[in-house]
Amino acid sequence: MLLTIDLEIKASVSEQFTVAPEDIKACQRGDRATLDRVYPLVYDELRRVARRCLAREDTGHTLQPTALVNEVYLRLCGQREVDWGNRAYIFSLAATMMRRILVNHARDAKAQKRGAGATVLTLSAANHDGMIAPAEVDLLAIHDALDALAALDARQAQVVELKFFGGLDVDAIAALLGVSNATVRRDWTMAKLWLGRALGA
Amino acid sequence: MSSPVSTAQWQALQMHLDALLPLDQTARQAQLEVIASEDPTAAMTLRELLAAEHRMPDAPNAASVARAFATAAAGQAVGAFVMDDLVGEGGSSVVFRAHRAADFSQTVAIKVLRTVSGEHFFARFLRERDILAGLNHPNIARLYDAGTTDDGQPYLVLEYAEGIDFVAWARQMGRTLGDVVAAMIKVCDAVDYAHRRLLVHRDLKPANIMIDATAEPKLLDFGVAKLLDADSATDLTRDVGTPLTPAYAAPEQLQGGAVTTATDVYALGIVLYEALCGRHPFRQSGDSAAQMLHSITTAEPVRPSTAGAVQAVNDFSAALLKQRSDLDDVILCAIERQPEARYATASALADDLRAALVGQPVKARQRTWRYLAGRFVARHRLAVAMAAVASTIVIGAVAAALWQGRVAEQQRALAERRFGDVRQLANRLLFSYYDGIKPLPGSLPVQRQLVQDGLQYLSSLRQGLGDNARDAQLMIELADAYSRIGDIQGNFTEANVGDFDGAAKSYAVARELLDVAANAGGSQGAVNEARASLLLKEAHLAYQRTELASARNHYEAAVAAWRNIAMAHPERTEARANLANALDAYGDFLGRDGAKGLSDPAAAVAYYAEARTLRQVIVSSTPNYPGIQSALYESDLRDGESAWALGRKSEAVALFEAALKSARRVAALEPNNSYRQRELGVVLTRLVPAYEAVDRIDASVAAAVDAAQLMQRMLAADPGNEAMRSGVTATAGWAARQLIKAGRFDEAEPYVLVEMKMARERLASVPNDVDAQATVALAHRRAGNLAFGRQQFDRAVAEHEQARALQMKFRDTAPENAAAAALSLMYAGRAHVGAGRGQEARRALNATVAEMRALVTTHPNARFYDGLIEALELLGDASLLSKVDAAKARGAYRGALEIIDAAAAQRTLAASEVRRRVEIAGKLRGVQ
Repeated sequence: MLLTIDLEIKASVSEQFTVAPEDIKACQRGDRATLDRVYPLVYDELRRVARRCLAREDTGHTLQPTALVNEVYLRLCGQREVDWGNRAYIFSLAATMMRRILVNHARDAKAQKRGAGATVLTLSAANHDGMIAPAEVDLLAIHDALDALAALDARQAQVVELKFFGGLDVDAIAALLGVSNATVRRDWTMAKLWLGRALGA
Repeated sequence: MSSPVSTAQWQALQMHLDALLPLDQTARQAQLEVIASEDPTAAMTLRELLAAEHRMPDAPNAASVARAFATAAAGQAVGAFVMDDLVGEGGSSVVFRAHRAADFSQTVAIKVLRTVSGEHFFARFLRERDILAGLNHPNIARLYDAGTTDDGQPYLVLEYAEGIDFVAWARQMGRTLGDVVAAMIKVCDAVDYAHRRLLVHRDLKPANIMIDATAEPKLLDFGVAKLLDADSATDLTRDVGTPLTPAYAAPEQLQGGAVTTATDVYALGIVLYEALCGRHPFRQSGDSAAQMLHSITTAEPVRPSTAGAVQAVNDFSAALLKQRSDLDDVILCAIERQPEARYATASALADDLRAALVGQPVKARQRTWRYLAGRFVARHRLAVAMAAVASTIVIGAVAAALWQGRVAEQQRALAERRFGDVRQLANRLLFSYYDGIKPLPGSLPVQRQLVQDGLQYLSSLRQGLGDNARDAQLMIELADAYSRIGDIQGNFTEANVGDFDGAAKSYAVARELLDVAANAGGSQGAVNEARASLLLKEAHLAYQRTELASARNHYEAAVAAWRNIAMAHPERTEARANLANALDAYGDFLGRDGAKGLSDPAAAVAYYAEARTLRQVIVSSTPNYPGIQSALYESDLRDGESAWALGRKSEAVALFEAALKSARRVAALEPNNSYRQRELGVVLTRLVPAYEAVDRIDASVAAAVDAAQLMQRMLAADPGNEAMRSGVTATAGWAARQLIKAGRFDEAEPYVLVEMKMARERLASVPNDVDAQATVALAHRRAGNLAFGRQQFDRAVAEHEQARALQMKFRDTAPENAAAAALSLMYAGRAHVGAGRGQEARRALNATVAEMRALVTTHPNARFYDGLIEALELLGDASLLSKVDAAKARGAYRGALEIIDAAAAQRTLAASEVRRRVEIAGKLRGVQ
């Protein structure tokens, strides 16, 4: 499932888009001013889209990163056809942001858990309501290990970011990075082992 | 993590991995050995990497994503507030601490709801706002306001409360049992407050019961469930892709039933259980959601005092055990599967908690009985369903005990002792339970189910015994079980299903088992008592099957057996009480009229007297002996019957009245005991003709109406009970009869209608049953008499003729039936007289006289004579309608007088008979 376009998005597609192709090129060039403008736009849009997804009743699949990032791109740039360069840029930007948001949250959550015996602020917390939730993976460990991996093989780290945080599938990543599917798969397999080792430690 | 790796090294490792990954474990190991011989460091790293093969997921937890984005909202404005921190997250919402934008000092909680659409929710909130805003209680977090964000997400503005959830707080070091229960009492009071304002929480759980730093509870989310309910399709699937495991949901919630205050009580019970025992009553670690759901709806929880986790921080189990297990009962009552079995209100739970804390008796156990009592209403379907529940409760508890026993089975001696304990427990549960429910209305199917289940259990016990196969005690218990089943099948002195063959078989098995027990060295006393009881039951059965000789033998043997036991064990009050019952039963059998050769009223009287003496001895020595009060009035009743049979009517009435007084007292003491109610009805009904015979018509009417109302009340509590229905029919008939006699026609009418309706219903279900037909006929007579009283003579004739038509079908089955048919004709004739139709009247009455004369020839019964006299008198009246037949009239009147005078020669006439004589004599004079 690559794109989920619903009527809401369709309605907004016809508007003037906030991020034009030139802007993206400028960002890619490293244009400071444009970056300063575009970056928060993407970030805000990401949050807004996420909250909208949270508000919907069928939250089951629409909170997957894939859908989020796609929607962000559509809302900001409105282009459905393939200008892979631009799309790649926005997507990796969004994926990076996703990572940032998730990691920040993980840090905050960790900081909030103080030692036993202290008062824990819980207001309708999920802890004791009997929910059997799937085990949470240690995002902070992944984050650190990912940085370490980036020093060894930048592309593999990017694959992880796009796939894990951005939620893109192998085909989309291959297209974005300009490599073959097989390459993406191998990158992902190797990276998983690396990160897995970090998780187990 | 081990040593850092360089870029080049990482490339090299990946090459190795390319080769290793496709291999299986053995091949991998081999290859790694090879690599290790050259480069041990690399090999070690490779091993680590391979070991991590499945650790990394493909995507972050969707819940984390959701939470992360929710957090990202901090700093944003929502309505008049600014959000500060994410403080909590639940299945359907995230909660922030926020402050009022214009006033930093006011802190609130903002709960942003995820699963509902904004506009509907807000509209609903406005509707409920009054109720929700009206919740003003120190222990309930207030709901201030609601709104929707710019994004269209609804949110609630709540009182901010900081604290720990109830269970976590309870499990903290230093928390005492008293602390925890006291806190829960406050919670219950708060919940009750809301209930009284018509708000059920529906989603109580530890997370919603906050304890703050001053140990004050704060209930959260009151009313939210209700607000959410209208919108979400199902409350059960909430979180992103993760179905909620409703550990605190009551069974009726899980099954889609009605949510009531008892639902909240259930949740409170679960929370308290968890707080004190450190574990959930129905969930064990490792259970899947499905397993837990299954447990909630089927399993029996372990008693809290024995459920405490051994390594708990705060082991409350010692404290719980010390509470005499009252607290156990309270908690278990709160988490009963059936809502009606729980406390109906949180305040009832609070009261019992208070009582348990100070060592006063709790109502929890009583509630279970009362629930059982109330529940065994015989809608058969319901009763059968209840039977399953009841059996499960018993068998479940027994199974739990058995399991616990098995778990502790270390040594054989210990195992055997446990087994005995378990069996004792099973017996106690099974049979005291059985005794408890036996008297309850509508419990027949349940009893049957229960005893069958119990029997199955005992049989399987027996099979699993091995060496203990010759256990005499077990034989005795099994014999008891079989005899109880026999009772249900066919003991007419108790509610039974009429399966007399089955009963005979069951009693036979019981007898065999007792013989085996005796041979296996069973306690002689126990065996003898069991045999004596069995003899009496067999006697009843034989009587029921009209095997009169066999019945007599068995009654005699039963009396002899109990006599022996009473003499051998003078200290056993039971023996004397049972002997008294056996004497009464034998007396009843001997005193019946109508049977040839066996009837012996004098002997009956002697037995009754002996029984009364025995009972009086018991009363003076042990006045509180259970059942002795009601046993005494049995003596009164029987003595009354004896007096009646001997014609001493006033004495009989006095005795019946004494019996009535006792019966009323006993019935008042045991309002749930349907036997007592029925006995009261029996005595009342007996008094109706008794009062009439001594000319106390008003008392007669009052008794009849009393009885009718009593039976109707009992039927209302027991609608499917056939015995009850016939009781209602009979008493309604009596009430109608007496009221009509007393001229109170309007009051009589409803009873007439009831009698007819019930009689017809019964006939419809058993169309060929003679008794049913007779009852319908009587109902027609009643209707006819009512009509006659109201001077609706045509109607009267029609009803009486209908009665007669039915009665003619079975007039030959018994003299009473022939008399009834004749009487119907007579009443028809009387109605013709009233209508002035002389010819029809005479025809009917002549026929009546003829039939009655024939009847009294073969059955010179006082009742039949009465009928003949009345018929003759009426014939006289009818003949007078046309002056032509004055002679016939005189003849008829004289005939009537003759009969009366003949009776007067043999006995004293009753007042009513004298009156009648005077009347007829007067009429005779009028014609001469």
